Order: sequence, then structure tokens, then C-alpha cells
Amino acid sequence: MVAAARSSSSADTRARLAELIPRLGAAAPAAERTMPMHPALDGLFPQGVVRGSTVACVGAVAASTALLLLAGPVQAGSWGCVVGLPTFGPGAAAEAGVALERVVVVREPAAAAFDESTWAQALAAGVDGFDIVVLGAGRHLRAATARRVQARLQARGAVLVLVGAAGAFTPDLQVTGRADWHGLGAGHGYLRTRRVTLGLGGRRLPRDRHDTLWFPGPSGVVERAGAHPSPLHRQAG
Amino acid sequence: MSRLVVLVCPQWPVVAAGCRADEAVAVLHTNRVIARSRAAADAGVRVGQRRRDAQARCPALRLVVHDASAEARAFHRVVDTVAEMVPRLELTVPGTLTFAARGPSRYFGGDLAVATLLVERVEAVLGPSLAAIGRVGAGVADGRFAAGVAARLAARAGQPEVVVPGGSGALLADLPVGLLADVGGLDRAVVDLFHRLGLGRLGDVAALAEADLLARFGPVGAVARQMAAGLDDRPLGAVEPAPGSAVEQAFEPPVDHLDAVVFTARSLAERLVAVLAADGRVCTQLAVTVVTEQGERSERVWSRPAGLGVAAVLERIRWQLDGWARRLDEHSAAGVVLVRLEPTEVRADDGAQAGLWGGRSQADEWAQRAVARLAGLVGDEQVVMADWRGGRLPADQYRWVPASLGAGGGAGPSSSAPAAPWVGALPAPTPASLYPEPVPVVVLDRHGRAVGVSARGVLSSEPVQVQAEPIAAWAGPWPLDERWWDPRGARRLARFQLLTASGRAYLATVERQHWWLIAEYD
Repeated sequence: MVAAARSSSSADTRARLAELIPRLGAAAPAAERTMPMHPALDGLFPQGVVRGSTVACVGAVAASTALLLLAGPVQAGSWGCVVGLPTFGPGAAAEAGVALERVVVVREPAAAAFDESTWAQALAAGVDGFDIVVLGAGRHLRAATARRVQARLQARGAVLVLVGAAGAFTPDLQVTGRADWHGLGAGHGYLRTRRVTLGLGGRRLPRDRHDTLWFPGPSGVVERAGAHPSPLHRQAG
Repeated sequence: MSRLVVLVCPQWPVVAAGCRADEAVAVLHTNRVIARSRAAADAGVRVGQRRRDAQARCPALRLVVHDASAEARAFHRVVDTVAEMVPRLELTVPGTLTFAARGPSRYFGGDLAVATLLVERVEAVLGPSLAAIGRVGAGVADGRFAAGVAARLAARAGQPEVVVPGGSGALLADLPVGLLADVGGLDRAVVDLFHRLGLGRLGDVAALAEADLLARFGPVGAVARQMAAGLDDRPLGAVEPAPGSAVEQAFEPPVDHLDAVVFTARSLAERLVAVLAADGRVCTQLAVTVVTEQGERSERVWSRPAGLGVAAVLERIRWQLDGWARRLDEHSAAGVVLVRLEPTEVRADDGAQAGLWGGRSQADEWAQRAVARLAGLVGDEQVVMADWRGGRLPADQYRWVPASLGAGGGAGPSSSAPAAPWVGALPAPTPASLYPEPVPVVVLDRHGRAVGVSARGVLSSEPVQVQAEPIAAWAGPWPLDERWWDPRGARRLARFQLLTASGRAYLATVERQHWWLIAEYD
């Protein structure tokens, strides 16, 4: 008797919820809360990256993955900022599809290294002004600073990309990559194409995602390997 | 052709920042002066100057950072005063007010009477803070641009300027063409080009055929001619929107928190922009109406020739509410029951402001501010952008230019990707990590001997090991002999690509018989 009453009331609730859902959906469009990504990352981020999240790139292709993450939003008209990454290679960024006219790099002067508070302030200014911020691993930031930056990230709706170890930050997502180069032989050839296997994990994901990319592919563009199933003739190594 | 009254408070950012009569103050935006007080002007500080130059002219200068919303809030004192005389006002930027002359003129007895009364009342409200900037100007003329110019002339002369109907073209003819950028908001590059083409006065531009300007400069040229001839009524191609495109949101119960209203207004703004975008249009003039539960209304018209995106609409709603809430607080704590957005002017979206996620120009603006902030924090030279210049080594291919020169358009880096590969450079892909300093390494052959490269570019033996790690694949040497004619800049080296057994790929060089890793493909 009691159970029947409960089930009918829960059916009621469900019906009312079903009525509400479309309205809720209209109030907060999903596209507004995510950032568009490079098409090659469709397999890992089918809906883009949620604004306010921190993505750590680790493994053998960390730097390239970070550039690819930067490419999507910058292509879509956002501005990007690269902080504390002295190895940033603009050539590779351009090849990954980053529009360099909307990327600002903050360098550390060789003579005078920044202290922790300068880095924290520079990072905060970057998060305030740019939709996507790439941070190198070399900087040691205190945990309290990292928490504050991440809170600001949420409020501002920007995305933070960490290259290498996450350090004091708590990444929401982690991209791990493995690379398999083709084209280089024993004393001949060039590094031409690279098959990259990316794994995406994180506390917001129910299960890890995996995808394989040509980075770059035979035609020089970055694309999902699904689009090009046949591997190139592999030079004997 | 509509007859408009324009009220200009020159150097408004200075007034908003608060300034004593004899104090030298300059307001900066992206490292350049955008407004200065009279004392600063006497010392040689000019609008458009760099911060360093301004400080050099006037060491006692107080610098204030441009804050658009604070300026808009401060301007509400003026807006409220004028709103008592005229019901429907139009605001473009803080410091400038526009309204149609017809109704008020009839009521107050002529254009001159309106303008005089306007200046009198506004100066009474601003009182002593006005001393630092001079006088408020009111201009009446046919056409938006002509009225704006008249208002600036009036501010300089210290008395209202009323142009007879049909006399706008004659007023403008002898004035410098630079006003198109200063007052009309036209692209500075186009105006400079007019100058170089020998079109020094507005009359010269007005004398050209519209078709010729359109052919040479595109839509901007047509707009420039309209302005110069005093014929601009509204932005080129702007039309009244279809009826029924207004959107509104009623609040039940009333909302008395400003942030909550703005938050809800966001979805409203998105809806409006999306509806217009579906027709390929963008809103250039928007009436925002807010009603409280006590029945008080605030209605303002906001215009922006570049188009109003979601972020721009929200910014304006916030400005309006901010100024209004301050005044309301004195009387009551009434909550807001209705917000209504009504586009009053739309035009075809030509992509000047793209996207529904906030508008490109807004992102540029934010980035520009952040660049100025970062430059202040770590130094101008450390905040840079990459500019392609070509080179054989990855580190030479781009040069770094200060971002304050480039962010947000203008004379920035061209950065256009090279159309063809650079002769002598290694083919793509380019390494993703460039080492700031080359890393010295030891490369050994099968017998544990160091591998060398002869002066003729011949390898002594096959490399099998780099820093104790086996090499899986390698290629090279690709010799490079750069600037051999210049004893100091000369470089002779051989390049290699090394792939280790663990899958890491490096770009290595041999220079003066030493191995270096200069970049990594990671």
C-alpha cells in the first residue's frame, strides 16, 4: 500500500521532471559551457572541454598535445596565453593549427627569475584575460596558489593546460600520450609522420577514453587515425 | 535625415577618475593615454601617447587605468540629469549622449535653447569636477557625425554650436579628415590612407563619388563619405528590425540583487542575439528597459556600430543597472520585475563581431587588457607574440615581438604561416619543444668511440648511443654553413634527427666537434 503510493508519487515526480528538462536545457546551452576543440580531438572530447577545467598533458607527447589543445579555442577566435614554458615552439604550434596572432607568451628574463608571487600574479592575469592558458611544469607554485588559480578558472570559464607534471594543481582531466614515429631509418629519411595514442582519464569521466591520431599525418595535417586506417609504409628501423 | 543633439563631456575618463582642478592626470588603456586633464595637457601630455612618453613630459603625472564600467557608472549622474529633460537617450560610450532634437526643441523653444539649457544643467551637476577638463559641449546638427563634431567644437569654444538645417556639409568641409577616426570611430588605418592620398579635409572626401570610394575601400569608404558629407543617419545598411523581435523576462518574485538580474539577462541576451543571427543580422542599437515593483522604469538606448554581441549587451545592462541601482537605493529597496531588450536598429552581420559565445571583439578586448596587465607585472619585453620571419633552424624561424604592439590588431605581428617551405630548413614536423640553451650530449658508436663529423660533412661512424640510451633510428648530417662572410655571426654545424629506443625524437647538432640537443619532438 505504502509502496504503491510511493511509486505513484515518484512517477509523478518523474513526469514533472520530464516536463522541466527541456526548459532547463534551453537556459544553459551546453555549447556555452564548453570550449571547441581541434577536430582531431573529437574522439577524446566529443563535446569540447568544459570551461573552468584543468587538463594535464603527460607522457612522451605532452608538449604537442598541449599545442593541439590550444589550437581549437584559438582557431575559434579565443585568445591563448603560454606561461612558464620556455621551450614553447611556435613552429610546431602553427603546424598544429594554432593561430599565433592570438597567442601571447610570457617569458622569464634570463637574468632575473620571477619569484612565486610574480608567477602567481602572471598566471592569475592570464586566466582573467585569456580563454586558454598553457602552463609549463617547471614552475613551483604553492598548493594554496594553485587552488586560488583553479577557483578563478572556474569563475572566469577559462581552461588551464598543464604541460608535464601537474605539480600543485589538481587536474580534472589527464591526457597521456605515446608516440610512434615513422619515416626515420638508419642514417636516411626524415621524421615524417607520427602515430600518437592518447588516453584521457580524470575524475569527471566515468571511464577512460582512448584514441589514435596521425600527428602529423602523411599530408602534414593532424587527424584521427580512423580517417586514415592504412599505416604508411614503415621504414625499417 | 534626423536632427540630433549630442552632448560631449571631453576627457570623461579623467572626470570619472576624480581629479582636482590643477592636477595632472592621464587615463591609460593598453599603455597609451586615452584621456588627460587640462593640467596634463599643458605639460605636453597628448592622447595617444605611450605611457613612458607621457611620464617623460610630465613626471608628476598621476596615471589611472581605464575602467569602462566605472566610467559608465560615473556618467549616470549626467544621464539622469538629461533624462529629466528628454525621455529617450542614446548612449554609445561614457561621456557622450545623443538624442533626437525635434521634440525637445519644440518644447524648450528652439535648438539653441535646448543646447544652452542642457549644458547649464549638466555643468551644474558635475560642478567642481569639471574644472579639470574645461567645458561640456553641446552640438546640434543634421547627421550623427556632424552633431558629434559640432559638440566637440562647442566644448572647445565654450558655447553650444547649432548648425543650421542642411548646413552640416558646409561645417565639415574645412575640418581635418582625422576627425573621422577621432569622432566617427572609423578605422585609423583608412583615415591615414586618406591623408596620404592627399585628402586632408573632410570636404575632399565628400567631393568624391561614392561608387569610387566603395570600389577602393569597400563599405568603410562609403561610410566615410556619408560621414564627411554630413549625411550619416545611422550605420550603413542599418535598418529597423522586424516588429516583435523584442525579448523580455518577467521576475516573480521580484529580484533585488543586481548580479541575479544580470545573470538572468544573459539568457535573454543570448536569445536576442541568436534570433537576429538566424537572420544573419546583428543589433547595432538596443533599448534596454528595466521596471521595478514600485513601477519605476529605466529606459536607455545603447548603440555600438560594431554590433552588440552577448557580452556587449550584458555589459550595457550592467552599466545601466549599476547607475540606476545606486540612485534607487536612496529611496527604496524595490526589486526588479521586468527586463526588456528591444533592438531598435539592426544591420546585416558582416562578421565584424563573430560568434555567439561572446563576440570576437570582446575576447580581443580582454586579451588586450590582460597584456597590459602582464606587461606591467613582468615587463613589456617579457610579454611577447611570435612573428614568422623564416630560418633554417627551428629557433630562428620566429622572432618575438612585444605583445603590447600587437594584441588586439593594429601594428602587430603578421604571423602569417609561410606559404612554401624555407630553403635549407628541415621538413615539417617542427619540434614542439625548443631548448632555450642547447644541451651538450655524448654520442657514441658501436665501439664506444665518440662520433664526429668531418669538415666535409662526413660521419666518422654510425651513432648507436646518445647519453647511454640506444638509438633506434637516425638521419643526417644535414650541414649548415650560415653567414660565413660575417666573422661574428658565422655558424657551421651539422644537423641530425635522433630517435631513441624509448621513442623520444630529438633534433641534434654537431658544432665544433661537440654534440648538442637543440630541440625535442615531444
